[in-house]
Amino acid sequence: MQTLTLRQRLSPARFLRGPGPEIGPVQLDRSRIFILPSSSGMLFAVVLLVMLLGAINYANNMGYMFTFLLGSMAMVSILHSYRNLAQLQFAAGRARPVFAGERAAYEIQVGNPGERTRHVIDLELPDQAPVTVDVAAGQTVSVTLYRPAVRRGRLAPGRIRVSSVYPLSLFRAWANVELDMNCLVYPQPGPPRSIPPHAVYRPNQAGDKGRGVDDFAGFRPYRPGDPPRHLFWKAVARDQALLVKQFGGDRADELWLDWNDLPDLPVEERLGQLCRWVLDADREQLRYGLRLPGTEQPISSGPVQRARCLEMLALFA
Amino acid sequence: MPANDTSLDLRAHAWLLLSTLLVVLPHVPRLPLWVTLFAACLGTLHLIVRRAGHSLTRWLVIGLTLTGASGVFLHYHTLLGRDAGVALLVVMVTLKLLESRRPRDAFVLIFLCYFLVITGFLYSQTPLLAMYMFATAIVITATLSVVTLAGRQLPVRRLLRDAAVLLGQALPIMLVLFVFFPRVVGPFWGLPKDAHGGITGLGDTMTPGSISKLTKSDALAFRVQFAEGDSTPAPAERYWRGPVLWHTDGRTWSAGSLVVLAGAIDRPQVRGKGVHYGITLEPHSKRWLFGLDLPVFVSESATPTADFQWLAHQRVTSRIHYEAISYLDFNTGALPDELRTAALQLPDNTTGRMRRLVGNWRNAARNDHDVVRAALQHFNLQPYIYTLEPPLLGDSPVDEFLFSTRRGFCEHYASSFVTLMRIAGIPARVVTGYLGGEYNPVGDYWLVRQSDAHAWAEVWLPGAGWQRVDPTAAVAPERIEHALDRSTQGAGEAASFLLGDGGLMARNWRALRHVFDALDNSWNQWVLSYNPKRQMAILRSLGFRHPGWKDLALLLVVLVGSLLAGTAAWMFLRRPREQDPVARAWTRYCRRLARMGLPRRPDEGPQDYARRVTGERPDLKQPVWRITDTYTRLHYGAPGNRMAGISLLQKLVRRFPQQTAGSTH
Repeated sequence: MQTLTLRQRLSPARFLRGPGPEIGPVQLDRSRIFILPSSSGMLFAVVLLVMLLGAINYANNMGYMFTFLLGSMAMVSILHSYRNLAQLQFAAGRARPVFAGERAAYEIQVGNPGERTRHVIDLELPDQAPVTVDVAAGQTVSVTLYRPAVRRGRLAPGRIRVSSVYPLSLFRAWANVELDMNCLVYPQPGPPRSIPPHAVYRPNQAGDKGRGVDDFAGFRPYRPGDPPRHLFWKAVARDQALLVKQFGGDRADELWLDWNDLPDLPVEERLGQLCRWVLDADREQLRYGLRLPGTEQPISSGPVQRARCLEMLALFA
Repeated sequence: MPANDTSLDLRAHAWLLLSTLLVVLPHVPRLPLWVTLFAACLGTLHLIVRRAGHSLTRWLVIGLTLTGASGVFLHYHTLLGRDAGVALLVVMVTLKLLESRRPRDAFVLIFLCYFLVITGFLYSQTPLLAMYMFATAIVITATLSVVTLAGRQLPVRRLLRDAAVLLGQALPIMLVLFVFFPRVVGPFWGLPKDAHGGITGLGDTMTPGSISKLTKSDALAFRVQFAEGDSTPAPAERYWRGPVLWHTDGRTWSAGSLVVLAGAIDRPQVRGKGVHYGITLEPHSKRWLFGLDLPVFVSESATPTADFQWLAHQRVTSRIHYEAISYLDFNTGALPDELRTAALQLPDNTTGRMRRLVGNWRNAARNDHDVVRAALQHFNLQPYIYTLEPPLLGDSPVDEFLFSTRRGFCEHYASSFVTLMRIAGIPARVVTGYLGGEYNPVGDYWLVRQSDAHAWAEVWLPGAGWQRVDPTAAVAPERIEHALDRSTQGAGEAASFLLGDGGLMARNWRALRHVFDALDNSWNQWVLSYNPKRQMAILRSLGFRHPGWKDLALLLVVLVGSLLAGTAAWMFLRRPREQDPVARAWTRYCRRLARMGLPRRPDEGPQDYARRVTGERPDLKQPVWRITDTYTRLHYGAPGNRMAGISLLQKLVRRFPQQTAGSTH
């Protein structure tokens, strides 16, 4: 909890934008929580004013009393509003990579170290619909916030507006929380297009035992991640162990996905096309590498290779 | 701001319905029957429609709205004013209930409900209604939080408790605002005609039957508290002076066009000790202030007139309190000519019989005193009957009453007596007001009700000035000492009076009524009659020399601010109540030792703590170790009867350290 100078405390920028991205869990306190009347609170104020005028006009003391009761209740509800948000903790969770055009999903951990349930907490990214949660005493709730990922690269969630109109909807208490987290946005995959035959033929010393998809080569035990269509279903039906049919090709498909293969496309479309090829190659369980100007991902295969290649494409500058 | 477009669930609808019901209920006796039925039908329709999961079309709602509004207009010929306004609000609230689908609608409905609560206070401000309305406010506020919680299922008790906590915490701030909020003297705009409707009281005219009709009302006229040490006047002296009537057309008595202020006549010569008393006057929407005959001072800003009325500068439309001083023994002195003329005015329906009757008295009398006495004797000896239900009288009511019906109420006796005196050439006038009152021993004050309304006469006698003469006393002397008993009246029958104390039931009932009225009275004194004047008095007593609205604003900011800070401190610093009885008892024990100057260090375990404490206070050795052992056994879960252990620990802590300390010191 940092202390603020008076100038910082009163700056309108802090009021509007919050303190900027922060690492680690953020706890709401006095310096972050702002409270203003909600739209229904404004209406309530108008009603109170009319009540007061009526009480004055009729010189009705119970009218005064009741008007003041409601006014005081509104004032006290500010304290309850504050208590509903105070000390809530926010920590960044995971943010799985997405492709441009999809929605980036940010997992936020909302922790309540206090002794009472926090009600109707709205978490909201700019221009997005709010997600409303309740956090029981001593609990932590995981909330996923979405934000459209338009362009590739690293996408921060931006300012999270934490707010609540609890208890009476007359006031909205809010705080801006900016967590230091990112979602990796891969380029949007381009249209299907055959991979140029950059295949490198490397004869296998042990014969044509390279893995491929052409010729049936035998069985091996199932490993997670094997495509279901390679499962030996007859064995499954016979209640035996899960077996996977292995295929061999006459050559191991190793190929380079190269930036220079797409000379006629603008940068983003080139990256999109390469992205498509990475996905295709991965689906085909090929061994592949990626060449971009000034950088290169050596030939390999599997989920790690896919992730590395896609990240390279996402962050290509 | 997120647009909350979720629809309300069935539970929220149930709460809204309950709130509406609670706020409309107190209005029902005053509302036209069709409004109540209309509202009830809409409420039922609402239930059916919601249960089926539908909602009404916009056009139907608009149609119903127009129907309701035009119904109110046709009934009252206006949509403004208190009664029409309330009826319209009731219609609108039930319609809003019907068309509420989203939280936004619900908020509007809830605020309308709050508003309906306040309109209830325009009719009545009793403590009972205030309590009912506070309870209603809790339900409405709970409804507000149900809508806020948007479908979360909190238990009803919890919702009500939270609402009660909010309103409870608001109470101190409310009180500060009530006392110190700058009071503006209203009204801003003309009050609607019905603003003070339904008020009973003495009118500015008197016709046969007007006062007997008024005495049917049990409503309070005013309360009187005599100053300490001042002896309460005897029952026969408790004439509360009100409007004085000079002019008659033979049937109706009125004040007449003549208004002479007190400055025009000599001050009355008073003898004896003045009676000091305070009057809390119920609003009667007229200007006069009642006082014991003869009031010489009234603290309220009012003008005294030559006939000893006190006229407030404004109509009394709210309850007011004033102090007054009266003298029972007085001589009003000379009578100016214009007043003499007015006091001798005669209607043109006097008859020969009347003149002959007076002529006989005059012939036998040496002076005016004798004439008055003769008249009273006449009423006393002739078969006159004092009755609440006198027969109707024709064109010449005084003549008919005197010679044929001879049954009448105080207004008959007063008006015929004054007419006869005027025929005899004695200046006379009718005075209306109240006679008597009921003592409330709980609050030590007197209740004067409309049923105590009375009319009597005043004659001007040379040397004595204006003198009160009550011809009713000549007919029914009991009336002077006792209140009327309305319960046993038949047409034309002689009036009966509340003579005894009326048996056990009546006594208990009266005692209970006194308690309630005393409560009501304190409520009036402290709450309802609070006004700008009292506010200034409070400020002056707080040391403000010339209190103005700036002082009030400053005081308000400081007081409300500190109350809010106090509430915040209570909310945030209060340690939540420990749930575990073992830990609670242990904390209590540690607190007690801390008060004795031996606080437990945060890192200190129970055993270490006990060693340190017994080291410094060997006298506490036995109880400290018993508590520590019991606590350790319970806390670290040693086997044994846990319940017995807990109660033992609680007992030991409760007694700690008095018992042992007492035995060793």
